[in-house]
Amino acid sequence: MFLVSYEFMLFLLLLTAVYYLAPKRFQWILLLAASYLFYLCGGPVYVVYPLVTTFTTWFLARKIGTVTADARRHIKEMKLGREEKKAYNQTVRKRKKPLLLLGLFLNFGILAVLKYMNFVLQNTNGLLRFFRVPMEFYAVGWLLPLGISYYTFQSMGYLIDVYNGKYEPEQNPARFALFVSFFPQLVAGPISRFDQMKEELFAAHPFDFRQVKLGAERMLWGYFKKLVIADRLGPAVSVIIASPAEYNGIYAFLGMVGYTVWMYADFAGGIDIVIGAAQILGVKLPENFDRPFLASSLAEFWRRWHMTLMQWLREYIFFPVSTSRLSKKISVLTGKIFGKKASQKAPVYVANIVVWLVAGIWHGASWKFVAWGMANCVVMLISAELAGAYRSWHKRFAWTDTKGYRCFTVVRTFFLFCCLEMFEYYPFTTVFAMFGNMLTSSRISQLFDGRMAALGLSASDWRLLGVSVAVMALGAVFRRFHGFREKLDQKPVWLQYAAVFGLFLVVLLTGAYGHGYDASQFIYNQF
Amino acid sequence: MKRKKLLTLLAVVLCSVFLLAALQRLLMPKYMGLVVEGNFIHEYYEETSDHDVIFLGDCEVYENISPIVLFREFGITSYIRGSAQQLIAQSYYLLEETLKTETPRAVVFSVSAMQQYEQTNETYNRMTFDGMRWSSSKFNAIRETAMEEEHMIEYLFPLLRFHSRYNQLEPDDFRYFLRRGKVTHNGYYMRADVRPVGHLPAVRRLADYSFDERAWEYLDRMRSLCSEKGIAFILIKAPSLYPAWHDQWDEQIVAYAQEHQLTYINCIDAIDSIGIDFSQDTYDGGLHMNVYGAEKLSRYLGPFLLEAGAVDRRDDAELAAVWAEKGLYYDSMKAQQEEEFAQFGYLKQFKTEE
Repeated sequence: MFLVSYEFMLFLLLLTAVYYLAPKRFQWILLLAASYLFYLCGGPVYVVYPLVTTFTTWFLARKIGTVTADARRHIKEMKLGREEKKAYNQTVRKRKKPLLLLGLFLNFGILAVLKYMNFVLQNTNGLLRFFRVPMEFYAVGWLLPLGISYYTFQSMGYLIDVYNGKYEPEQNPARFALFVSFFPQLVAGPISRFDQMKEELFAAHPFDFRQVKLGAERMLWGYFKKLVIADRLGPAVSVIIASPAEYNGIYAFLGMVGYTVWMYADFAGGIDIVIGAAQILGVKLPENFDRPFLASSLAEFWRRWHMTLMQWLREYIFFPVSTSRLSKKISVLTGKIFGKKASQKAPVYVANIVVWLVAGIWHGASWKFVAWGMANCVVMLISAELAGAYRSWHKRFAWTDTKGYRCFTVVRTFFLFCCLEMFEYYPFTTVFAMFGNMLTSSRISQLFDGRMAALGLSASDWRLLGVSVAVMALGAVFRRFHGFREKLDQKPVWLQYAAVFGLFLVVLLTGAYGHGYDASQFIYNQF
Repeated sequence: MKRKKLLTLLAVVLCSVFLLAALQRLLMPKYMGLVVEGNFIHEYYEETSDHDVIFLGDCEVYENISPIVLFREFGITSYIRGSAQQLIAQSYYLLEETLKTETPRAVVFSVSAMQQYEQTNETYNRMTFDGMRWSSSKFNAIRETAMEEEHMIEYLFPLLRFHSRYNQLEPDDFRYFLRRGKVTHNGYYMRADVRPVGHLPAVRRLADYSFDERAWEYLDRMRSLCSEKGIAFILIKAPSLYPAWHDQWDEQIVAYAQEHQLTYINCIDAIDSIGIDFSQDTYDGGLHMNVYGAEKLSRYLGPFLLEAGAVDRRDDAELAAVWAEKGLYYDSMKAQQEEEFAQFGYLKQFKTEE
């Protein structure tokens, strides 16, 4: 069941009715049943993997929790001193660690095998051919469960948090199952934390018309981004990026910007639908975007784009890696060779490389994504290295403190991101060739040489896209959308009605859905 | 305060429904230009009197039989419930729907629909279903014959199907917004232009001549439905030269008719008796009859229908008045088309067919 389908809307409508009519103590059970029903729509096999992840994570977290609780009790009863406590905690960590590692190994193992096995086999075959070994592994055709990357990361975040004693493990496996499988966020995130979601998922939610209205409005805004912009622009952009030899020059530029707009409208639209659907059910999910295209640097951009994944990577990879023993060893070694300054920076470099490697691999089982991750990493590290130079530049030139300069940095960051995205859809070597071609061979006249017609969009489609993208951009520039919705909520009823019904009509009439259109999956569903 | 809120809510709901209904009406195709077949099914509901004979099928009935001639010359009241590429299952559900409001004396089914059980083009389904009134028959017909990419909800709310026509609206969409003109004569689609038979494609041999099991099932269901109500069930094959009606198909229908003691009229075998002249009686090179061919075929069928139980109703003054009015419309359209054809060599409405 896609988020953009009649079935999903009917499903949500029926669930909402039953959810608010049911006794409050059964609401979370209804959500769990609905989530598994949603998952079952993809086929019974799909349920097995999240069930395994749910059960193993719940079980191991509980075991870890028991060890932690026993240790706390022991420390309390024995009235241990500071040093004794420290030593005892070390032994406790040693007891907990195998459980954590088992959980991580098992669940990341499932993810790795299902998602990356073919990638590994392809590369192994390449190596075997290189060394002229007469052997070849055949690709496997395993089913990739819906949203496996999302629920695996979410579950493992929970396991690590329990291991670190951030909160108590959930005792009820069914409750934990709901946290793993809550249906709106199952397909495209956001990746939530258990302590954030516990109250939201398990508290009683009486019917609140305002919340339902705001949730429906948020969904409508998401459908606008997805159906009016992303699904109209996507096929045209796909044509451009699929044929770099044919679509070069200004088309490469058009493809580069179009891909970024398409991906944002698709992903952010999907997240709006997810957050809106959850809000209708009284559940507040974390935000995943904070007007990323208003960022003035790449580092800021990545704090505003896919925020929950970046937070996850920061919390569960960046910090542990930068404080790991290996990083310390590298730091010492770097210090011996390059001096104290380099020694201090080394752990950050190592952690950044690992984070972007994981981010790249998370996005897809391909070297293209590894290259994309590394390209981002390089730009971020260079920016960090130049931070001092930037500061003196800003101090020296007062005009860098103006709105105009700020606008320039925003536009610069947008195009920088667009350029880096090229690593996602072109092979590594093609990226540079296309970039060079774009800079040297772009002519406006190329737009009228007939290639534009083959993109499958009519003049009215382009006009509609232009206006819609402007509306989407204006929405971000003026205010975050939920702020806008809340503001609208205080206006006269007729104005609220006109605004919402107007947007509804725009989506209904101009949305790229129904007969003649492909039921387009969200780009981020594949993760 | 509460009352005011309720009234506001009611006004909002009513406004929305009204606006959406108006938009839906505007965006749905009007079928008043080159393609008129989308109007055939819904015109039945405008009928004020019942019928002795109901014809079911695709173009082989709605282009080949003239109910006006059947009444004028035999006093038989009839209606053709057919639309383009109407599948046998759709004919069954149309019959089921028809029998809820009237009981004819005979039902005539065109067996050419036996050759194809599944729909090949969504447009044909839309033309049949969009014209049908909502009932269990329509629901079941859609469920049974809708193509994979079709959704029931798009039939419930056709706006979801035709939403993208917002930038293709034509003057006809506004002209026929409130009311569309009548395009058939009791389901008969009139063409008074002439295009003689020319070269016909070679007949292709098939690997398997057996009809789909589901087609037989629906034929059985139609027969049972008629038998339950004491209605004569007649099978007919129109006298078209193309697409080919294979002997192997005909043998199966003959056997079925014999087994169930049904009348089967294969008009291909009776082309000479009917008096069809393929240089004059077809408007598309032998695929379908024009009005001259349809009138000849209707004269040929009249006695069979009387024999099957239809009666001469010309003495019924009320009916005669209704049919006289239909006749006037029929004659005026025929005269207009003849005049246009004589003047231009084609019919203006269908100029782009040339």
